[in-house]
Amino acid sequence: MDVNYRQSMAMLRTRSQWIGMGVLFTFLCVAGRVLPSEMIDVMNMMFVTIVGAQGLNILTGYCGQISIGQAAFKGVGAYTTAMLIVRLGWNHWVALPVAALAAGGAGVAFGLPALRLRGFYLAMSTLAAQFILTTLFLFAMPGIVGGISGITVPFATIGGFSFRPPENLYYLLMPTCVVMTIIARNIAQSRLGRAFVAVRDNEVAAEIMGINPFGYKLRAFFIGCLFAGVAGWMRVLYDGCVRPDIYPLMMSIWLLGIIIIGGMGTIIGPILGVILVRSLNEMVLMLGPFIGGFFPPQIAIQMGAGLGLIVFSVVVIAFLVFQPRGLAHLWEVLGARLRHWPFKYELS
Amino acid sequence: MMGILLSLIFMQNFGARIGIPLAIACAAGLGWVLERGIMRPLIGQSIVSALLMTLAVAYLLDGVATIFWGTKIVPYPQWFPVQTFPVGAIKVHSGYVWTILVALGIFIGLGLFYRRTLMGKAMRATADSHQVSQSLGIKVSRIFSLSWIIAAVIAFALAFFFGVQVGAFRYVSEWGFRAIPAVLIGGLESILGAAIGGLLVGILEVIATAYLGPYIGSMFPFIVLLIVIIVRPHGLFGQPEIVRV
Repeated sequence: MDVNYRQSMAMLRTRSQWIGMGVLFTFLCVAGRVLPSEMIDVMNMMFVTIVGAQGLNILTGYCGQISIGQAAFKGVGAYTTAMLIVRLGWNHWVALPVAALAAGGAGVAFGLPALRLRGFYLAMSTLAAQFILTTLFLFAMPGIVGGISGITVPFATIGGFSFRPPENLYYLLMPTCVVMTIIARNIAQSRLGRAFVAVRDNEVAAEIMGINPFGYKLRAFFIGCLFAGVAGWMRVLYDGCVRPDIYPLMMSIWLLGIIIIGGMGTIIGPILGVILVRSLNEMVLMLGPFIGGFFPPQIAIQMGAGLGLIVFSVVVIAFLVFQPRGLAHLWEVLGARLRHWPFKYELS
Repeated sequence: MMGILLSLIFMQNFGARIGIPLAIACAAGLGWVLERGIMRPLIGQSIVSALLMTLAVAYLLDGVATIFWGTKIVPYPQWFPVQTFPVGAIKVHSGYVWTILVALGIFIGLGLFYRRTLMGKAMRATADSHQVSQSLGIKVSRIFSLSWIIAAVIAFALAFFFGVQVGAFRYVSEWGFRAIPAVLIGGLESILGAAIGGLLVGILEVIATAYLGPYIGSMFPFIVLLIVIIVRPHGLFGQPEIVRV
């Protein structure tokens, strides 16, 4: 039970949370040196996706503004990074805040229709953002933006320490992801986050309470896309290049699916969602050839691509139908069960 | 997308005469099953869920299609006589004429259905407010099933013509997104609006491609969409929504 304000605002409230966090932290610190290289590669990808999903979660989960353009905003961050580094010769660290701000600015620009639109219509304007931005990546000024082949970006280094091998990159992406998650958590807990929730739950009521819905929606767009920009920067370091096809519509929908699976409006949700979806994806990649073996060869070749789509959409559908509040809720329910064991409910 | 591929199977196996009605019956069945099994549990939930559900279904069908048909274009049977005939200086492909005629027929039929029949009026009432229409004795759940069936059947009907002109391939589901600017520009609850919006989007895209270059052409509908929904959020022919506390 929370006794006072300070305690209820604290990040870690119980002793078991402190222990759990300590274990997790030690694991994260050690993992980059202990686990096999392929696994670290997968984890790096997870960190990138988590930051993007946290941004979308603030925008969609907390503020209730659906966005089908998160991947494109990620692309804005990535392209800004690449252009600053390659065309202007900046270094990676200075490019980070600029990329984040550029993506945030693009988010505000495409969030402006929120002044008059809501719900479905606003989602369509972010869909328009997705199409317009990816078309720009592909065709606008090929000399500078890179056209279809994109831009190759050198990997980051500090002194002689290169972040190229996944084991080293891990120690760049992991802290970034942890810091962004803490920032997201603090935003959600502050006045800003509570105002987002008020706008999500009832716009008219929020306005009556003195919250300017339009202003807060724009702020949500800015913050959500800022996160996307940081994720784009991380993705550039991961890929070592930018290409238009890295940021497709499919990825925006993936991110939306991830926060639904994880549980919208929770901080742990996107993390759990990314872990589940990525692990499933890896499993499909591993099992694909095996399952394909049972089918005639001309079908087996197409198996991998199709199976990934099917698994993802079936998981999303299952969560929407059976557990709309996502893994985060499941997590809480399991925790409560464990706490009250062997009883089903709390004995007062 | 599913429409094209399913109708392809039926047409190959049974010929056009039996294949088309069979495919349409199958569309109705698919629409009903989707509504019943997948959309029904979402009643009362947020719009994010509904939107994501339809997208997930699209990708699910996409995945199934990829496994069985691959990613290449499958030739589609020419099930009606195709020839070109001159109108003035332009040579017109008879497939386009048939497409326009059928589209016109569907528009008129739908317009009459919504304005004249009891069921159509009930559907419009449901779109306005679920609660009020439920309390007036309209079976909202049945209306939902019906609207899904109609949507699926129309999509299948479109598929027959699309297939003849382009061929069957799985990326057709991306074409679904192209319908969105058309409908929103026209206004959501207006059939005339959808027709005019569709024409507008098509013509603007072709003109923009010709004069401004192909890359502006492909994103032009979305630029127009952005402008239209900022200036008139309910579209050109839609009815403005009144928000009450």
